[in-house]
Amino acid sequence: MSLSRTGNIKADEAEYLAIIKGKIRQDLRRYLGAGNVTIRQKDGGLISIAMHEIEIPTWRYGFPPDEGVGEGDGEPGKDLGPVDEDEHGKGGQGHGSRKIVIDLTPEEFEEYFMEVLELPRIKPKGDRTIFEEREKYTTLSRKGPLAMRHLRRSWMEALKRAIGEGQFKPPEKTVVTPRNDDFWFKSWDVVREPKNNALIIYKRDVSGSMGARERRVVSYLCNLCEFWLARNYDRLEKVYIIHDDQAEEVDQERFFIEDWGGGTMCSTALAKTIEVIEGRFPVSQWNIYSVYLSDGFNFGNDNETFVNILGERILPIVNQFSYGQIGYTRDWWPSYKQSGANTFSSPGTLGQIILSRFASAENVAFAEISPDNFESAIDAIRKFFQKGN
Amino acid sequence: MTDELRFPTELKLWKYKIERLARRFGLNFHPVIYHIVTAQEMSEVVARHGFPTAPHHWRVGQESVRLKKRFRFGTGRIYEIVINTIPTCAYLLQLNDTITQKSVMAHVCGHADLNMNNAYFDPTNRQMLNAFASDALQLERYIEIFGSERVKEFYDWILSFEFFIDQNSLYMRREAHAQSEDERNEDREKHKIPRRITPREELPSYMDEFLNPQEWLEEEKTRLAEEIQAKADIERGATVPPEPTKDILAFLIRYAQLEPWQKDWMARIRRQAYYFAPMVRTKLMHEGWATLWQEEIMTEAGMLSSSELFQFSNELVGVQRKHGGINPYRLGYEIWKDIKFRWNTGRHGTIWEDCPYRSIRDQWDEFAIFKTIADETAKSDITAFYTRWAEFSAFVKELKAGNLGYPQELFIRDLFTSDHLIEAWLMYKNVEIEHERFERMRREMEPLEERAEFIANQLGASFLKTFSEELRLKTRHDVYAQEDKLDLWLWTHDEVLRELAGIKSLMDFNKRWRKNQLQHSTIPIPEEWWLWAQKCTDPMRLGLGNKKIFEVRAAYDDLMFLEEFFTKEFCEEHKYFIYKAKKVWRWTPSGSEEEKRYVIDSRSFRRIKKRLLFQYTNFYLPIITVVDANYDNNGEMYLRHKHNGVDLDYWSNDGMYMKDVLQRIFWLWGGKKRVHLETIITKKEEERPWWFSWHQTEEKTTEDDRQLSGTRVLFSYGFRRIGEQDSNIAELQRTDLDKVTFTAPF
Repeated sequence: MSLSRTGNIKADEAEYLAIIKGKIRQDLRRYLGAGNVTIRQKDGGLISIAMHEIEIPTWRYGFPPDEGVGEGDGEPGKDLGPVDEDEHGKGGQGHGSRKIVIDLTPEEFEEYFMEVLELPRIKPKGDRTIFEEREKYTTLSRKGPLAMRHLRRSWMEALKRAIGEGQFKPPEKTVVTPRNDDFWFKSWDVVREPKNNALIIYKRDVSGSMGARERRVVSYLCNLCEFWLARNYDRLEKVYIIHDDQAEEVDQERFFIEDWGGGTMCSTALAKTIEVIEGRFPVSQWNIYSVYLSDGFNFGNDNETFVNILGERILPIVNQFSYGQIGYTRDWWPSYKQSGANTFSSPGTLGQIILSRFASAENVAFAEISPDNFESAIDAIRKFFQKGN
Repeated sequence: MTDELRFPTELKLWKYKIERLARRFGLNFHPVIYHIVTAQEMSEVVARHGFPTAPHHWRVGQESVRLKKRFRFGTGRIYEIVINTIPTCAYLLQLNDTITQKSVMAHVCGHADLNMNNAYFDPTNRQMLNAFASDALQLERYIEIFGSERVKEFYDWILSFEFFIDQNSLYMRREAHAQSEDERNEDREKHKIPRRITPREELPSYMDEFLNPQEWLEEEKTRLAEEIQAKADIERGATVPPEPTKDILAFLIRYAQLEPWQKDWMARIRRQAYYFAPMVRTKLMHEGWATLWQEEIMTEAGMLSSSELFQFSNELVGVQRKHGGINPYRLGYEIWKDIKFRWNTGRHGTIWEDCPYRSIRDQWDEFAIFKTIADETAKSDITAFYTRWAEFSAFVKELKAGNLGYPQELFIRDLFTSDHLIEAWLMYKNVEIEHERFERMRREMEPLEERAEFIANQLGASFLKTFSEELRLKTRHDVYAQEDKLDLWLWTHDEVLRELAGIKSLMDFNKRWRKNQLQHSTIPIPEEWWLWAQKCTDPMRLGLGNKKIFEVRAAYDDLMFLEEFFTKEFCEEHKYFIYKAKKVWRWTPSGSEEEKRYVIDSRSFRRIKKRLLFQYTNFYLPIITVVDANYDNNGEMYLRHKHNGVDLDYWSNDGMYMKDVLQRIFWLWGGKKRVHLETIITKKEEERPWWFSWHQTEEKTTEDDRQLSGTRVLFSYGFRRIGEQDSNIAELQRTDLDKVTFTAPF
């Protein structure tokens, strides 16, 4: 018995995927807010959304699967591990449905994303395009490798020659074979294409320590920012800068993990940013997005410097400066505060200053990110990109 | 993509061998056809429950997508799937290595055998492949004629009730009108008169007043009159359905106003549900049985090399890995082994269960053999008993020294002694008979083997290298079949020789014993043994393990299986427990957070068993019956949930599991008349149901049954009463009725 008729499972799958994508579109805000959206770098940028299966309503017990029968050693009271909200075995039907992961193409996801978050398309700054030279195989030439023969043209050339020499006399049948001279080869030509480039510079304060939950929320935010920018620009480059009282450029891994804990001078981050931009990314060719994550804690005298550099040197050249306020753990802060010394300003100060000084600025965005939920990350994205810069 | 290309000859040869061994062990099954499929295809086939074609539905798509994802992330590999049809079809994963394929084929033999021999499978339609294909085709036709939206919507509706069938109706008749008219009249006459109680022995006549008091006779008369009236009503058709029925689909097909195509489609879905019902009912036994025989077959000599054997045991253990909840493979397998062990070693019946002597239980194997020897000899001739006992003592000594074919290491611990002592002794007892039997087999086989060899060579086996092995096997089978000696064919010559060699050491022992060449010290017999043996007059029967498991295979389902064989000893030996979820505070680098974690709650055997039995009752589905189709004399449908301790889910997902279901049945019932569902609720508003309350507390859970209270509640779905506002909107209503109390189910 052959299994050839199993091919028609595609129809079932297509029907199901249509239904569930409709559901995703409806509920995307909830999935984003729950942190269930993962952007896979490797599979061609597919977006995976973890969600519950669609269940057919039927009568069932309201008993949760939280209790069951198991096997093994141990006394009553022994800990067995965290509750896993996923699939349950035969014994329980579970209060939620089973989990399933649906993949969306970047195009589909972008469409829903824009719709749900009401983000306008980014208008790239007019002259910040770069012309890239590419070689495209659009022309022909007389010389070339055998693999690149243009057979039709070569034959026509041979035909022309045959007619010229009088060998070809219709309606008699003649065999026309191209000779060495007759060959045309496909060849390349240099073509200039305009490309929009974007650069995103992340800056983070590593003098305090970021908890695991914070880290998850922040990397979620970063992923989505990058996704959005990548869909709006032809090319995206990423730069990561960390600082305490000195700034350093690092790679993505270190950006999230590093925890230095020295003094804090936020203006060093901005100085480093400027250094990086002037060194490698001419402003005329790059759309620059600057994202600064901190808890607003700074060396007291540095606040002014920070604001000056921001206002005079950074804002004129970036498309958008986004400030994300996150919570850090600084163990020594409470006792320091009690002592009344004033060298450092309290957490949140920098954020306040930015808010008050730059409230009317065209390209500044301020958002608070809380570690407890991914909702705040989604709100942050909205704030960062809602002006279409 | 035909199967011949993908089912390599090497595997085919193993398949022949495995099936021959399985049959030799006593398994009996229809021919199995294997399909080798890729992982993607496997996910697709499993989404269709193992059938190559099934009616289109989006949930097949969902299952397929989910399985493919799981496979891709490595969280679940489905090794095989078998379906209960003739011929039996089974699917193997292409990417398995040969050891795994062999192992899976052995496992499949177990499944196929249970499918064929368990009584609960008797009424299944084994031509289901055709039925499914016909269903698929019919769905297409209906879609063409009636439009895809209507048909698919209807299909979605009835899927809500797919499993609400009367699973026992396959095995009994529930018809009220089974009798003929005359029989019914006769019945009625008979029942009008209450039957008086008559004593076994003669009593003086004045006692009659006490046995059959006047009040009781009057009560009986009224009761019978009511019964007769009810029966008459049923016959008239005034009560619909005649009796409360669990088979909701059948009820709708018969009484709801549906179009012919809808009724037909419902009947098909119902047929599918009844087809799968026995499989769901015996799932635990199935997996255990298949794993049991997988182990038996694969550990038979010649199946695996010693390194492969290591890998196999690891995999078997892997499949049986304990994780969080119950692993049905493991539980079933352990119970089957337990049954075999217990019936082999006499650990059943009154002699075992009522034995008051701890010391006997600790030394059970020796005691069991003592009892058998006593049964055979002590009554008639006490010296014969002591001779035999001396023989046994010598036997044990030799056995533990490793001289009887069992390695010495097996007897270092008492546990291993248990496994092998009785088995070895039984083999020894029958050694003469067994020797004779195998000798005879050997003699009979030799000419047949020669003939098979000769014919195979004639047919060119020595030249056609590729097919020679297969050709030899097939020729051998044919030769034996021709001589009508298929039972002999189950053994190969090598296997017979191996058995003879194994028996040899036992025979040597026998010879040496007869010549008094063995020294031994008699094993002492404690006083209790004599006492207990005398008290239990029934003979001790050993070696019944195989017979018992084949009996159980034929007659049990999961519920009976657990009820009878999940004993206290078993539970304690395998360390089962009940766990529950608790919220605990944990310290993390970023502070403390509350987390839900599983903890062991109790090891009480009684509670564990009750819980397990609850799980396996009625597919773990609530029991819902249709009681009345003419409720309130208004054509409204009345359903009743038989509350057995756990509420129906009416709050999850915005009450989807109650509201949507009632809505669907309302539509199926015509969309005009109300439908009602009576149930019991223990959950108070804003509070948790009864099982939550002790979840979160520290209080120790007790052994006793808890008494719980709830409210009887009527959910109904329909249009509002005429005269009320918005009487054209259908909605769910809830009416609270009286209070009830009941015992917690577990």
